Amino acid sequence: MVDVLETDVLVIGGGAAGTNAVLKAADRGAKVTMVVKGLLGKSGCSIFAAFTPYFQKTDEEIRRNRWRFMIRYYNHYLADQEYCARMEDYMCTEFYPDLERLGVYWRRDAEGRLEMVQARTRSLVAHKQGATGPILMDKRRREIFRRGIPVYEECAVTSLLTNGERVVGATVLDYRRGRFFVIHAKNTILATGHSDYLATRATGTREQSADGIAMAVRTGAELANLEIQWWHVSDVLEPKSWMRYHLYPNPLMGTLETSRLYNSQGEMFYEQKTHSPGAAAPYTEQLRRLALEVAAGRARWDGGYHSGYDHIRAETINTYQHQAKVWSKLGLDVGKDRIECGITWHMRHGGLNVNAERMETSLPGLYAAGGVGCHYLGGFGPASFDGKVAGEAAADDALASGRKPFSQEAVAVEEKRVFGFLRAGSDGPRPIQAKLRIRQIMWDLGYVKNERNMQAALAALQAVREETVPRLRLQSTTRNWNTGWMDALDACAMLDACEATVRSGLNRKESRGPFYREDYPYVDNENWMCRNIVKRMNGEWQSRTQPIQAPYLPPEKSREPFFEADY
Amino acid sequence: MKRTYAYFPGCSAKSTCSELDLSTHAVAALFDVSLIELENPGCTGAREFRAISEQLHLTANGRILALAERNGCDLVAVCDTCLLNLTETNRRLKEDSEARDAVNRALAAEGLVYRGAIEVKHFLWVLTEDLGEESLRARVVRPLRSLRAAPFYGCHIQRPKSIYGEDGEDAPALDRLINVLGGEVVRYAGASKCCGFHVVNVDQKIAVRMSGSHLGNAVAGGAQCVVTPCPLCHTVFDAYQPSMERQSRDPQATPILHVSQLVGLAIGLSTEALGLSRHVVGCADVLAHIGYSRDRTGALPQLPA
Amino acid sequence: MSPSLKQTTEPDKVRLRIYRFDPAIDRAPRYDSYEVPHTPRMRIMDALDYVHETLAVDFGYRWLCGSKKCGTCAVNVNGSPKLACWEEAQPEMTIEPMDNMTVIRDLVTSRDPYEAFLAKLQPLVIRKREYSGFPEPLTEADVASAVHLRDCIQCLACQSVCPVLQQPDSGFAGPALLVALSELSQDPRDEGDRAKMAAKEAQVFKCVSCYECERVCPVEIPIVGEAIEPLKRLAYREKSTPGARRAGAFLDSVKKLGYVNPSEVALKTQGITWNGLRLAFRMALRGKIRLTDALFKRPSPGAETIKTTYDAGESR
Repeated sequence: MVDVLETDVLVIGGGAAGTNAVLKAADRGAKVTMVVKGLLGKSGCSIFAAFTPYFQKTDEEIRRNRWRFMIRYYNHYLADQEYCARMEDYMCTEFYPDLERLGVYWRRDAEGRLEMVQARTRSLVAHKQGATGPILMDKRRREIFRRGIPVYEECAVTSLLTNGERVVGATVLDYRRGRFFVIHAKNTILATGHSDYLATRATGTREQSADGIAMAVRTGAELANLEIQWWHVSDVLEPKSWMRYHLYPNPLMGTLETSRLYNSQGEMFYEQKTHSPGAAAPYTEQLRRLALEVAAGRARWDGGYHSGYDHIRAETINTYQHQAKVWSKLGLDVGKDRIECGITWHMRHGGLNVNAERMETSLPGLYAAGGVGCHYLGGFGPASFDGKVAGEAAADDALASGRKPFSQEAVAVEEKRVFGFLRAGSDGPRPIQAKLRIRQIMWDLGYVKNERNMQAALAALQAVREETVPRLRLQSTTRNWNTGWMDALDACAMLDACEATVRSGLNRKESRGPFYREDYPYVDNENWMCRNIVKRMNGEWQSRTQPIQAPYLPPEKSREPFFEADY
Repeated sequence: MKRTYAYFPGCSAKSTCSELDLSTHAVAALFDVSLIELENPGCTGAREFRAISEQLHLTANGRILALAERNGCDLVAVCDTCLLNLTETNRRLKEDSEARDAVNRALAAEGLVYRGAIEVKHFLWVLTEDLGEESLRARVVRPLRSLRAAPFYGCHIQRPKSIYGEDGEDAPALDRLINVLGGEVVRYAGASKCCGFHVVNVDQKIAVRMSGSHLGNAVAGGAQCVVTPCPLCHTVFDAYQPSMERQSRDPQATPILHVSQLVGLAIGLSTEALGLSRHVVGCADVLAHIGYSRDRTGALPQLPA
Repeated sequence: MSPSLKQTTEPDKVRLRIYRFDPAIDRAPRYDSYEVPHTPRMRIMDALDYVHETLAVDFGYRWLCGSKKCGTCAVNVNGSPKLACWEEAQPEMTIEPMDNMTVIRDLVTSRDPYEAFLAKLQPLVIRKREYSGFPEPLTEADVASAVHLRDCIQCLACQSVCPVLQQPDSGFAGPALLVALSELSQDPRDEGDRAKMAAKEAQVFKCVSCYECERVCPVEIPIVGEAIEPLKRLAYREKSTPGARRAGAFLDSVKKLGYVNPSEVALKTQGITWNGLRLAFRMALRGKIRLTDALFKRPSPGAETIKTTYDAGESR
């Protein structure tokens, strides 16, 4: 018999959404339990938060710009606009006080005014631009520990448990010790983020193998817009581990200038300030312009082009930019030198299909908060809002309802699956090789998609699923931090998540934002401004679409060529 | 060529390690180095003044620097901690005019002014850098006969890196000095570590365990003695040695020498001139190794006439 | 114009000796050797990843962000702790878990003692007054003294090299925790009794000022000068601790005599102890001190001037 821990609300994931969900659910009086695959406040993508957006309703022009940024440039008209209005209120009233009360210091000037990124919208930084995330997460971590909320760190949730109709908890593997247990919950909040390590070059952190998406797929939850995956253009090429260093193309603190991209001829081909002044997160524009350079042979997806701040005073960059240290560590001068870049899969817009009013998913008892949802791209502030909404809704519901039993049989099946990978031998492929292969498949698929290469990727994923996974062998069967064992579980999750992503891509017959199909090279707001939904039921994939309303900011054109759109 | 330095012996060399002051003067004289000892210099505050008030720390050290400046020559210290306090203060007061003004206001009543005109150095560096290895070697009359000496640098002559730069010097000064004098450098895992002096009054067992482990490693590496440029390290290793739980097989007492004593032996100074009888752990075995003969009374051996 | 990337000569191969230990199975640690191809600008982590991807697929090592944010990948490389994602791979590397830590498996160590100690220090701003709402009145100058402390990523490299922490039951918090405590104590909004915490819980006066922590800090925090000494100055107010008594006795001695009298400082810090007496006899026997030193020594002729100047300096 496996151990069973009882809780009202189970929160899976320890980023901005998960931590706030835990705190807000606890505020409501619910018993909360948290499971984090890495270390609380140190894993996942929230520590990558460069800055926090400063929402104000006082300046009408800045507010209009903010809305235009949110809806058009950041979410490509795929955001839930009513959600955005509620989230705006939260950002104006609660987000900053909640964190400042814990001691976060957002940078001020000598007179005590908040220092801001001065673009069409405003952003604040805690400490330095690029170092904000670790500071915010550190405060949340300390607060959760202070309250004595049980946190299971370095524990991977392997499956969601149901009673046939409702999600009633999850199975967990503590991979430090190989202990498998059940957390039996009245409600479960999935907060596993939107930035996974699913391609050879990706900004996702080590533990991020899209477990949340994969578990949702396996449990039959609806997922929407998974194909809207962002690639970062200005990420460091070498060393390899530094592909997660993003040389911000967006507005910088302390200057009105923005970074520049140069092709292999040394010609500048992109600068946010000049080329897309409205897009404070200009990733889609960068991608389109890089695609043109690649097509002309003046850059590669994995190098041959450079990014730099050499037109900006080095002192400014050093004062405000965490990233300046990349230059100095490589022996380069931030005021003179440029750094070679490659693209990396950064994050995805889509995720579980949620009702953003309460963050409920299509499965009763399961909530989704933050980037793992489909209603908004994500970010530290919005994800915190999601955590609050989901945490409060899940807690209130849990306090008002009874506990539903879980299926012991399902636990036994999952235990068998998990421990089934604990097979040693030299007669089969190693789990890490499966992971590397999956990442290679998604990297090869890359940014420029069409029916043919997506079908090929599906077939390749299927081959890994059928031919590689059943034969996986480990070097050792220790249950003590067995990296190979974790890799095997990760590989399975990645396969489900990647398959759902590619299938979702095949369904969308247009291009939008960072999603580019050569065979449908136009933005089609008439037909595809919608949630493009997939789910897997009993091994069968189903799909449908659900239109997105635009009550506040409708798109200007119903259809336009992809390379003419600026969002 | 006569070299002249202002000289700040520090409190240890004037009390518990008076043999350090004695041997430093004796060695300096032989190398035609003139040390002008500061009058009533006060104290650099060890780690204590800076734990009370930063201004006190800057004032006390600024005062010593100002006294030294009146001699128009660089200042020499013989204690690692004094060296760091003075070097740090000197740099700070040179760079930070506000701090400098504050210190000078405090010094004004005595008619002292800190100007930032001199540098601070350790007597070890006077020997190895200013005089240089060649002039040292030329003076050696009684080579150390491969005496296995374990260098113990102490913290404040090599860290922090904001003052001394990154570590990584292949053959640091004391190693080179031991070689020049004909000794053999013992390699062991403690040469750059901390003796624990600054916690010795607060929690003696921490300091004794720390230095005990270094000494054990040195002895295990074959050390016949330990040589240190710092009287604080000397005090822990020498005076507290009987309290140490040895980490090594060999419980025999290990003599601890000041740098100036080791040099003095090699250049033929008498044990009296070097104050060798003033150690808790006697130095007879070291002296015997390098050829000082024992007399019948068991008194410390003397150099033959 | 092609951008100016500095090319350095890089080796072809990297040789690693990696510490392997599974406490559940192994009686003792062993070292496995691996040879991996060098990649451009290779970091230590890239070499470990290669080993994991090809040679030792189950080996235990921890990293999360790969970009100097999470502070979880620090390991000993050739005897000294390095942040694996940040430091360059060396041609020959012996890689071990950091010292002073419990090994979970191979290079993975437990962070639990650190977290438990941190919790004791109440590591969030303690407010007695009502929070006034965002943005609180603060200027950059209010928080400037702790600016470097905010760089800490809690990699625990400093904890691993601290010689005091290496002693059993030292009671000492260690540098990383003092950085956290010091940042709070320097925060104008914080109203916790940080002086008491520094003196009693963290035992800040057990710091030996060896600067080993600064030597290994990957984010180059001046830990002693900007975190620990400000805490000592706070804890100095807690006269009941030996460290504060020692500092006070030291200053009193210099002000009275014009130099420090170690015997008197020791007596005033520790009182009369058997160990202290033995030491005094031992030193007196060799003429290092006189047994009466602790009670009386003659002031230097300039003692009064020195006191006047120190008082003037201290009052500024």
